[in-house]
Amino acid sequence: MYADNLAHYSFLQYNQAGPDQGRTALLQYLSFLQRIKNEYIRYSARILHMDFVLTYLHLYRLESTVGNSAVAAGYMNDAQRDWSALTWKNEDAAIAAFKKLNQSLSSSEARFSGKGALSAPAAHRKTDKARAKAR
Amino acid sequence: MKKAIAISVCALLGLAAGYFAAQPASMWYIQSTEPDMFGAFALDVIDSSIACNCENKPPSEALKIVSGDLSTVRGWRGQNRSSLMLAQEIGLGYVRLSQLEQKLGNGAEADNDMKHGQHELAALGWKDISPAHLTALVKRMDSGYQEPYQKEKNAAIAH
Repeated sequence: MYADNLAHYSFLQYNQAGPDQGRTALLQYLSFLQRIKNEYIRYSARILHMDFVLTYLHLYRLESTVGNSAVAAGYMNDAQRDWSALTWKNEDAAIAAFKKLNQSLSSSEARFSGKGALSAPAAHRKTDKARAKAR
Repeated sequence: MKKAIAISVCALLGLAAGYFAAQPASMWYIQSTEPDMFGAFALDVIDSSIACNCENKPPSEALKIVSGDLSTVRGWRGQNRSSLMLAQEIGLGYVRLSQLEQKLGNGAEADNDMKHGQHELAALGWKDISPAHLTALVKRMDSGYQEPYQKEKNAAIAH
């Protein structure tokens, strides 16, 4: 699926390249997600919201790192908006889960980029792709 | 009557021509307007990426697979010079090739492949292109360590 390949490419650019290249790749992926949304392309709404959340969080982290705090705050709001669109029992549960997601994402990204110890493999990347294709 | 037949024949010929022309025309359009969209499509054709399930294969066999995939992706890049996604895949493909050459004891080829990989990834703005880092990264990707966004996504979707 194109979306998976773009997600993989943009994540690696964000995680391994400089902020300019990372930003370009993430915005390209974001624009692709917008097209899926605007053109009503068949795609799970839940997964689409989650893809938006993760991309906004990556952009938030990138802009925070380079000191664009106002832009970063905008991306954080966008991430929270899409996160709220996922069904939650109540607002507290949504906030707690969002905090947990943000922390977990931050530490696992650091591990992936080689800045921390790696945990055991969870599942093969190809298996993920096969699962995504079957959706 | 003759006029109606002529129009029908022309319509049928037009449909046939359109049927055959539509695919190359749409591919040309995507290549020229959205090179990375084409790159994503092209990678999908070879099962998403050059990464292969090579753990249980002898290095010489894995080398053939990776080398063949890399050659295919390079061919596509020839038609899409501006696709950064294909450039990234080619860079990582060279790193994988370098690892396999190293396993086979071909030190010179391994160094050469690593240099090609470093060159591609440096052009993409990658910060750390040391052989140790690239080798470790590719090993992480191929050994099944999930990319963080994928892991978090699966966890959140399953809640």
